Amino acid sequence: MKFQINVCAGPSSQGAYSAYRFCQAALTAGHQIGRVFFYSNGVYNANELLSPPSDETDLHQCWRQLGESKGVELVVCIAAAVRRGMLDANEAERYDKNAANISPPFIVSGLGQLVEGALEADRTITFGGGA
Amino acid sequence: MNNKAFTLISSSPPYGSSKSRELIDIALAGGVFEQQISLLLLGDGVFALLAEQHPAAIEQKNHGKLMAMLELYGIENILVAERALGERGLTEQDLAVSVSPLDDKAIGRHLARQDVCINL
Repeated sequence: MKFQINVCAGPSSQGAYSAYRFCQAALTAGHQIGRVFFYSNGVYNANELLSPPSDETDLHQCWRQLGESKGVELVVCIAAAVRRGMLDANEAERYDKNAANISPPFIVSGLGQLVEGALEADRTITFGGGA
Repeated sequence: MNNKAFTLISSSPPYGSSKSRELIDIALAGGVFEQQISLLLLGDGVFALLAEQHPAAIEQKNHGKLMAMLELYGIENILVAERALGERGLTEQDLAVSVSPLDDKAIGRHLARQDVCINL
């Protein structure tokens, strides 16, 4: 089965961690993750400046690894991201900011990617809640 | 591109968090893809539909006006939990848009017919 995963919870909340664990479990069971779409406060998962203590799970790195080693597409909603100060290099240039905090395998794109992903997937699951 | 029935579910009030507005943005994106979009408002989510909203006092945009615009984007199916209106002392006359009030069982039947449900 092919899943579209929407992550609407920030990296310090259970919602985001559950989303990641679900992706891992689905892949292990032989399912496909078509796309992970980060929306609302979920865009903070893409923040590469996150630096949690070394004895805690670094969820940003977990997602990054999922993208790099399993080829899962990690798409961050551009509108939700820029209003929260989450920018890739292109957006940093566009808004004349001196720093960027989103880089591949995370890519920024529009909300249409959420809808399109849901159309292509067999099931869409949204993980929300928390801050 | 195939066609699916989407229901976007909000139970958050219009101000105080970005959830209600961000859910409407998904509705608009779905409208662009010419999908069958329903908006379902539960609990405090119904406050987003109130006609008399004056959020300028707290420097926010008016959600009632945003809701009234949805029809222009082809989103005409706005469903409201009848119970949520009653519990808040509201009637359909208090709302900025025409809605379909549903009881709990009808909400269940509606959701069972959907392909994609997104609840922020």
